[in-house]
Amino acid sequence: MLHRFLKNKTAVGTVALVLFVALLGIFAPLIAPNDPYKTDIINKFASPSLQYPFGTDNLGRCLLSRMLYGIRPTLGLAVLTMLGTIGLGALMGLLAGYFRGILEEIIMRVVDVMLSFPSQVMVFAVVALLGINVQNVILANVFIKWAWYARMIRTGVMQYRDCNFVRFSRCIGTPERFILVRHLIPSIAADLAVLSSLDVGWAIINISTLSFLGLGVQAPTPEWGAMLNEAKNVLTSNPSQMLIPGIAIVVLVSAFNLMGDALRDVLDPKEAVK
Amino acid sequence: MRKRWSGVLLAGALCTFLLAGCGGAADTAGSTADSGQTAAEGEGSAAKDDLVFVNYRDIRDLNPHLYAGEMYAQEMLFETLVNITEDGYEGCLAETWDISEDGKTYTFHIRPGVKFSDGEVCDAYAIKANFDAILENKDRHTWLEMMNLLVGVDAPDENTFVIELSEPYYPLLTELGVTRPFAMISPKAMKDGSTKDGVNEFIGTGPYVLDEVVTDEYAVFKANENYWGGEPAIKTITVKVIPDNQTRILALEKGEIDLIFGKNMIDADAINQYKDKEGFTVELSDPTSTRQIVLNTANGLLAEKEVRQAIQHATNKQAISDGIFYGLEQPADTLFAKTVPYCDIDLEPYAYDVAQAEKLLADAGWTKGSDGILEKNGQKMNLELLYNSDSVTEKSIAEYLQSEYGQIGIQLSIHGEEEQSYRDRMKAGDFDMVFNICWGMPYDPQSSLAAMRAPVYGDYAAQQGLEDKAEIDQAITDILVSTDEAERQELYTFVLTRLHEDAVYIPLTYECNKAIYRSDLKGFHFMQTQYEVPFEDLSF
Repeated sequence: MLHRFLKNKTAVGTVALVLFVALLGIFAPLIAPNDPYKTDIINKFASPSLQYPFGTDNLGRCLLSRMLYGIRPTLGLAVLTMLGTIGLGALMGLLAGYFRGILEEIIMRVVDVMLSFPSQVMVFAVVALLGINVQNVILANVFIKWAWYARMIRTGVMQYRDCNFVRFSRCIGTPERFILVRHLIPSIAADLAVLSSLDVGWAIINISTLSFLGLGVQAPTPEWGAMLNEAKNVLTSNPSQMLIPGIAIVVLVSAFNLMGDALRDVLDPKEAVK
Repeated sequence: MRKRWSGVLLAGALCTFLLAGCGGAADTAGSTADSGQTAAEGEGSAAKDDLVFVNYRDIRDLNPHLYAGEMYAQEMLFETLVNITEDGYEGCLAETWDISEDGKTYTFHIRPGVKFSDGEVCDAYAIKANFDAILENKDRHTWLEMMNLLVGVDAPDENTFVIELSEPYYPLLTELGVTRPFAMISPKAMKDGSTKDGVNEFIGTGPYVLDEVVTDEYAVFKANENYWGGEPAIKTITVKVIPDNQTRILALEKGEIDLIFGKNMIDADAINQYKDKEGFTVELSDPTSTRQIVLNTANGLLAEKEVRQAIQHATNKQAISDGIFYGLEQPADTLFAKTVPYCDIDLEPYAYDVAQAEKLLADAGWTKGSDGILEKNGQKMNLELLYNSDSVTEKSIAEYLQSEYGQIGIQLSIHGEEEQSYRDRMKAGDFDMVFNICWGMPYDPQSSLAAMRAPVYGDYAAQQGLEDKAEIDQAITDILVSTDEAERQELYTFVLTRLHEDAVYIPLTYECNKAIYRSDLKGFHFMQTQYEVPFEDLSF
């Protein structure tokens, strides 16, 4: 498997990029040339220089430092959202797919209801109801998106639940918990990995969107979407302030999406035969 | 695999293309503006007579006796008894007026032959009907002291209108001359002689009539053919609603709109950008009013005077003026500029002095906790600053202050809301700190001060924590009915000094009205009040 992974250039490239970005975020205090919150209003819209490699924003804050610190909320919150979504989705999917019956009916009908709403509108509604702050944004995203994963994972589980090894396990009286944890979860792990990397991309876009609209991460925290929002007001006079976080979001989200794609190739046994 | 990589390359190429497209778009925008310019010059002979104006929100309810509508639009449709000009008062619907010796009776001689745009005659009886409708809703107009002093109004004949007061009241003509509520609507448009629950139609005597409104999109005004002052040169005015600053500027650049006007509609960067641009003219008015932050003295932490004073000292107005406004708006030291009547008094401004601010806080028992935030008795110094998200600069100022105050351990969370909810929260006193304006000419200082005695804006709520609030209010009331110039000055000095020493207001800059328009638009000038746009005087 490692061999297949190393042979897949897309997988290696995107994983490396994502890890690199994550490391930049983790070590931001060491790398960042300036304090991302320090304003220097007289020196706003400075051109790139040694002290400010990307220039400064509308309040004279170092753009590079803000970008680096911005990785933390941007990527961190996205990963957190992903864990929440996948966790809840996987649990529901497993329960529904394995136990079937009335439980499945209930879960899947709820899923149907959830999926019948446009997700973005639902996110807005939830954030508007709970109030504007970061926890609520994550809650809203998890609350809206889990249904989609529950359905995908249920399908995966149903493929395996009638496999011989599961049936055998059941015959000899293994506890249900053991079957779920030891047989089914590993079987759908590949699907989960692909889903989750795709989901992170989606979550980044979504959190950035909300921050851009002023509903997510609040000023002065340097989240990339919030930075885009700040840049919006100086769109014509200082376009580079908008381009930097914009390009960063595009690149990172593309990386996650390509990574999901590549991981599927790596983890899919059929691909190996080719 | 190869296929996938070529896909990535393709995507990359697309991105570059898009970016290049962005750069290109800016160039083309520039050239469209130029061509728009030449096209306009070409039309010069045909004399363009329509103007596209822009505002950040809808004109809303233009009922002239209430406060919900946009003032520039109310000014276009409705007129008052007198006009306020640079050189004093001027007849409008009243041609002339006499004031009795004791200053208590005002007799207005109504301009004959004025008609509402629905054909109704605007005589003293119609004006009486308007006053009756306004007085019916007396509680809504508490900021006008004349409401308390009014004995009665009367229309003895069709050309004479009399207002009787219980005491001589010097700002009466000003109150009658401002946009609202003493503007005249056709009695036919009222609902059974009443306007407090809305009106049927917006029919006035003004130079324009309202033609068409699509809520939150645009409103069209047409010239009033029968206007007594002569039909204006611009025949059609379309007001578009564009909430976003950058979109407005791009629309101006593309020739979609002709004029951007207002204090908070254009940021300093745009002004600088357009200053030397061919085809566009930038105008800045003299300072109109004071941009300020109000501290809510009734709200926990800010009840302490030392804390308020410390915040005053921690505010770097010069940096805000230079950094955010590029010096276009001068730093302000006092609540009212010295040029405002009665306000040229000796007050010592709170100088920018961080050390002093820290000392004040330390003396008051505030110590920095491990997280760098000040605390006292387990309570953290955590304040919220509310700003109007429709204003183009308040957010930048708020963010700047957030970082500045943070350095001395005051944690400021900033929160933006759109104009209406921002106003509502102000009125309800639901804030720690909030951006505020004084009202500018001709309201300053008498009406702005009078309004502090009731919940009109945030002032009333914010001053509730002051020990001498009752005393200040009484002095304001005394000012309004004072007849002796020296006594009046003394009272003004008292009130302004108290407010200054109580450190309720943080004056930031003296704001000015800003306008950018196509250079072929003629006749542009700023009006006496900051809210009016000189549509009647414009032409191409």
